[in-house]
Amino acid sequence: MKKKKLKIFNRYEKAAADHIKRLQQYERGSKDVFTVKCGEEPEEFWKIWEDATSEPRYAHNVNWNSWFIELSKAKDVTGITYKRYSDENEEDEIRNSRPHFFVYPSNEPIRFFEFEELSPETLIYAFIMKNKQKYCYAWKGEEFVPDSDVTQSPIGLVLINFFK
Amino acid sequence: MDEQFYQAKKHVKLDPRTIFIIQTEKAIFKWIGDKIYESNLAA
Repeated sequence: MKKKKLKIFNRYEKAAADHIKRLQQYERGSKDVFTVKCGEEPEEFWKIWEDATSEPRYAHNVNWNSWFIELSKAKDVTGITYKRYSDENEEDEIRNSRPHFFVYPSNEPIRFFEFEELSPETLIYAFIMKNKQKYCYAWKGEEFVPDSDVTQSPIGLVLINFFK
Repeated sequence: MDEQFYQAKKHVKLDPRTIFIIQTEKAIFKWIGDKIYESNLAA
C-alpha cells in the first residue's frame, strides 16, 4: 500500500506568525522579527526587561497547565480524538464519516477542522457524540456579525441535512 | 492569547512549554520554548 506523505503542520508557529501579522497591521509592530530559541538568547534579548529577569529565567507557570494539553491525550477533555492518520484508507474513512464542524452561514461541513477556522468574525457549530448522546456546541468569535441575508437558522439547515 | 509573563516573586519568567511574542518599539521577538509537546507541533 502506498503511504501518503503526512503534512507537517506546526500549530504554534502558525498561530505565532498570524499574531505577529496582526501586531504589524494594527499595533504598529516592527517589520523586524527575530526568532530566539530557548537557551540560545543573546544578552540583548534579556536587556528588554532591564532588571526584571534573573536566573533561572525559565519556569512552568502552574496557572497555565490547562493551556498546555498534550493534544494526543486530549480525548477525555473534549470528547474529540486528535490523531495522525497513517495511511490513505484511514484518512478516507474519516473523510466519509459524519460531519462534525460547520462554519456559519454554510451548511457544508468541514471534514478536517483546523485552528485557523477560529477567526474573530466566525461562528462555528461543532457536533459531538459523547456516551451515545449528541451535543452541539457553538463557538462565536468576538467580531461575529450575523449575515442579514440568512433568513433560516443555519443550525436548522445543518440539522435538516445531516441529522434527520 | 495576550497574557503577562509568569511573575515568579518579582521577576519575569518564560514558560518553555510555549512560544512567546515580545513586541518592543524597534523589533518583534518570537521566543520558542524547548518543552513544547511534540504531538502539538506536528498534528
